[in-house]
Amino acid sequence: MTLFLDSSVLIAAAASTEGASREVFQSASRRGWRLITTPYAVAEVIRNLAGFAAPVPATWVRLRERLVLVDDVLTIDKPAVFPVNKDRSILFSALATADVLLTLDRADFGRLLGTRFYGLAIMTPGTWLTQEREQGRSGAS
Amino acid sequence: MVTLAEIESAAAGLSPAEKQELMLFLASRLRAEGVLLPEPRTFTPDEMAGWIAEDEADMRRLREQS
Repeated sequence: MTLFLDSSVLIAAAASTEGASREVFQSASRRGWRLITTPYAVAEVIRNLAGFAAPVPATWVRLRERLVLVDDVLTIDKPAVFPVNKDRSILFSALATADVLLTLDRADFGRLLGTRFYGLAIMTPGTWLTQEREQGRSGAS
Repeated sequence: MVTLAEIESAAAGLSPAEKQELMLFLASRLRAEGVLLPEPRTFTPDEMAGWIAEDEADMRRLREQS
């Protein structure tokens, strides 16, 4: 299963040991989840983590090593029939490369959370972990 | 027909299938012309704190249910 993590999830994972985003990182290898993101999302993380105190930036460096980077995708050959804002490249990159897009960004993805975009499931890390538990494939550590 | 408003007005009169065909045409043109990545976004501290709080609350609920 390939999970695309957007910048909101990456920032939350770096900033807190107690969140579902960090749990996704901790469970990934055990559960066979491939964690991917794009250079654009990484650039957003680096820009926004600049204001965080230690050890958050160092934690991000360690988490970054567990991510597979895929190319940014800017356009698709399917119509997007809803407002897509500045997160367009995130959505299209996830569609091209992943089974699930994990995000906490309700400002840009709120209307899409809990839905599918051309087969791509879009949800929060907490919803993903809950769903995996309900299907007997995972448990919180 | 030269202005964007005129083009939009004409597009509004197309059938659903024609509208979809038009969107695919525009997407292919954008790809051909090259589309630049936007600048990485700068999030507000409140926005990021909200994500972290929701993420931690989700994890607490998950642990309480186990």
